Amino acid sequence: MNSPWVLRVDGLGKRYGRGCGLCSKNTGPLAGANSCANCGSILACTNVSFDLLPGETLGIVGESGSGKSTVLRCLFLDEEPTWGSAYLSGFHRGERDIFTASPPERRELRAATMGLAYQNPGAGLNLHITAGGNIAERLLNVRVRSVAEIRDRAGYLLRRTEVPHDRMDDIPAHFSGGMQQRVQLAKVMANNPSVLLLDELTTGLDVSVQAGVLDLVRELQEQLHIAMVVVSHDLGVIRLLAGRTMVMKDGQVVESGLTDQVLEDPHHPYTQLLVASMT
Amino acid sequence: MGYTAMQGGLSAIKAAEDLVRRRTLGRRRHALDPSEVAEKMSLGVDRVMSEGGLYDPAAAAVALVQAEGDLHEASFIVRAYRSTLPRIAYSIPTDTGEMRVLRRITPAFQFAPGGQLLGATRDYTQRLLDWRIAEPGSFAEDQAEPDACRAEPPVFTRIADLLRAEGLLPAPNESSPEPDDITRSPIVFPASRSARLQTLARAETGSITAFGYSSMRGYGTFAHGTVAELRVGLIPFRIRHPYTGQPVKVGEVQVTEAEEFTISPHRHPNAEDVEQFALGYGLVFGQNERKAIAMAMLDRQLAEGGGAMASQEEFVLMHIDGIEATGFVEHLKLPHYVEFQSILQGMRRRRDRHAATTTEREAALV
Amino acid sequence: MSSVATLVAQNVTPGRGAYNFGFLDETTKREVRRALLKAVALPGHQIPFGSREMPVARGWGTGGIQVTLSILGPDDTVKVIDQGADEGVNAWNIRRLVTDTSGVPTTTDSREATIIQTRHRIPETPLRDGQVLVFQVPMPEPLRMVEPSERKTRAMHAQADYSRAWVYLYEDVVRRGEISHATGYPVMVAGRYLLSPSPIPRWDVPKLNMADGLYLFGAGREKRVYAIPPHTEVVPIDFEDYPFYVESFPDRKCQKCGAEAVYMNEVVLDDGRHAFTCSDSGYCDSRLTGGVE
Repeated sequence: MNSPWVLRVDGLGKRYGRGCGLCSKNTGPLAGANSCANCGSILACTNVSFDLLPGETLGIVGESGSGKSTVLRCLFLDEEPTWGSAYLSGFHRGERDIFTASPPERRELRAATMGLAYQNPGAGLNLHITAGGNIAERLLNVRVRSVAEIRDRAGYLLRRTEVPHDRMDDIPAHFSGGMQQRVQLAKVMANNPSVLLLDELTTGLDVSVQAGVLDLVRELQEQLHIAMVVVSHDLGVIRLLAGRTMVMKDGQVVESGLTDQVLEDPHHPYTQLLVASMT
Repeated sequence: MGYTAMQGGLSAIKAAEDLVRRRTLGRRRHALDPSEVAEKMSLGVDRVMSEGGLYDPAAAAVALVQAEGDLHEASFIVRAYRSTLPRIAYSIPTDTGEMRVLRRITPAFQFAPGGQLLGATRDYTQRLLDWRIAEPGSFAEDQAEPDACRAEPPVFTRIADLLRAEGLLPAPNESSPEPDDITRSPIVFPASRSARLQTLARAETGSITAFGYSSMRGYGTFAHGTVAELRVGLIPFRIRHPYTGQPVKVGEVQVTEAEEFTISPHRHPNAEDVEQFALGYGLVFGQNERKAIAMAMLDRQLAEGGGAMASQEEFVLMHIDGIEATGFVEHLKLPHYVEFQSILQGMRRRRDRHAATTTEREAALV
Repeated sequence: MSSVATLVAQNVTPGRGAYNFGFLDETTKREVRRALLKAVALPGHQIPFGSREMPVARGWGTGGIQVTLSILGPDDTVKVIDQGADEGVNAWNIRRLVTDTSGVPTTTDSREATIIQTRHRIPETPLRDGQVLVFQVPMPEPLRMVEPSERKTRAMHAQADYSRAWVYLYEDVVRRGEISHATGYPVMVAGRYLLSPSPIPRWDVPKLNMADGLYLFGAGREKRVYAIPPHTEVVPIDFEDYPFYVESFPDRKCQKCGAEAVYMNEVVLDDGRHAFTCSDSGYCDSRLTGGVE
């Protein structure tokens, strides 16, 4: 039986530190903190659950420290979550928690099934091998063994992400931040992942460059129908890209729904503040 | 073709050995007396024992004479000799508190139980070249006994124990697991503390000093600690009797021991337990104070970890052994013409391809 | 200052200077053999072992020497080559260590040897069943070129995660128009482990595949042994459109024996001309004395 979702997240949480009995009382939006005043542990995120449908883009919005990037890092298996489970329709038909995957399975999930574009392109790219070589790494992971095929595919992806063709054999260390970010997008797209995770994709880029990158993501959505989770502190980005939105504060989800609804009729005081500050 | 790698390898080696032997024997046609070397160049002999990983002053002195004073080479000869000796038994852990102390200082306190015992040191001597040593008979009238310390060397309380009594230093871990043996199983990462300390104990003195120094100059996890105690002395060496199972003292070894107090930079602001010092530990064969101190520093650096070179376990432990480092660096003297032929072919092939494409391009332009 | 033999003869101090058969003590030799058995059972997998210091410097063949001395028996005949040559100074130094401490006979004819210790060449005459070729290995880790950390490369081997080695080759093609990696070309062994065949030229790499003899590799300084058992599939990694190739010496003949289609040494004569001779000196000699085509 096919699951209606491509990604299901259930009760995900991450704590740094050993925790104590007072953690849950001392943290969260009511307490106004994500670190426990008693034991010093940080509850980066707790009890995050959602389903991601095929072709859908889910936005996660919140200030820094709200836990939104931690959710992505856990899903991409960069971090071990403290609580919760997650399922991908492409992994054991959605019947096995990806956090129980063996190391080779984890590698496969990261290399072929999912793609994460990091806020800092240096985290997702090796800046000292060529742009084409960066893309090649993902293709080589799925046993492509022809240089011509690799260069065809890399050329196509770089064209799609508007990186000039003659930069393919140049190293990203020599690129502008915007172009590095586009190379990173090309890299994570290389194996047609079924879920794309985008972390603060436009943060730190010039406004003119931001628009180009956002247009590109929209194009990818429309033409390739890849399911995405987009994390941003910028409601403008979320409004442009996400059909549904979750609002996070101090490690917890305070509001979620269709993006239009959340923006038109915010319920939680924090969301109201966010929306008000937009205009 | 007159190329020695092709013919006469053995005779070439023998001729080279003959030249070395002539140098070792010198114009007077006799080698230096190793027993005199052991007595009067004891710090060099100590280094050879420490880096060679074998406590045997007589063998180390022979090696030093044989190596014409090259400490690396002498340590290497001693290590190779060590490989021929079967391992008969493992020693029982010795409490260095039993040390019969020849020298002991504590920079951490002006005065501590037992006091400061300077012993034989050049630390407070002006390093003026003493030409009198070159003049025969200069010290003939000096009737001092060679053994300055004829009395039974004293045994002292450890400085670290003073802080332990105050709860400022954790008690030693009595339940330490069976230590690793890096001479039998190669080090794996992350390394156990026993493997770390063994590697540091055999480290090349210059390398370990440089790594320790870099950590003090800011390329480390913290600026610097306080040397709690530095002692040089004799510790008993015991094994279990093969029949009775009882501990038996089979000898004494001279060692240098350094202990350093450090404060962890990684303490959590909300940690509930009381803050304590951490202890860096160094113990090396013979009298080699800079090595023992650097070892104690690196013990802590590696325990704390971090981004600095001196805190990176693999970087420090894989490169600090003098015999491995000099061996591999000097192997570049070996013939490499087979590899170079392969490299040269590639270079020529690419040159020819470049010439061909250039010609093609130029032809197309015409 | 002296070879082991003279030290043995002089017996420096009473009770000292007497060396065991094959230099190493018996328990050490057994320990090395256990590691080798494990290596044969897991073709291409690097097995850590308690590498001892030898009377030859680390990085000068101590791994190969320990392997040879540990498997050596009184009935063996040993051949030692360095860069293909029996006569080289390093080959001589290792050979006399083996013979001085064991008394076994040596040969320069690879067909007569039961154990051949080599630095960076495989003899031209294929190994036969029962022969062992012992390689001296400076850097056993084929992934070292892309990853300096031992902890990480071990995890990469455990997961057969070799994509970065491929990226390295891809980058080579992009930068130089070909895979330029000259010696020590990485190979996949039995479809499982990536292995560095030690710095042998590409010429020798095909000889690793489905061989009749046993290949043992010893890395003394790095404390690893590994093996390619007989009849094991060994494939150099390459691309479909940039296939592996070997060095070629077109129109070159050995100046001494006239051999073609062998790996050649290029020597520059006093008058500046370049001349070529067989790199495998034992092969060259046996062609000159007859017996080999």
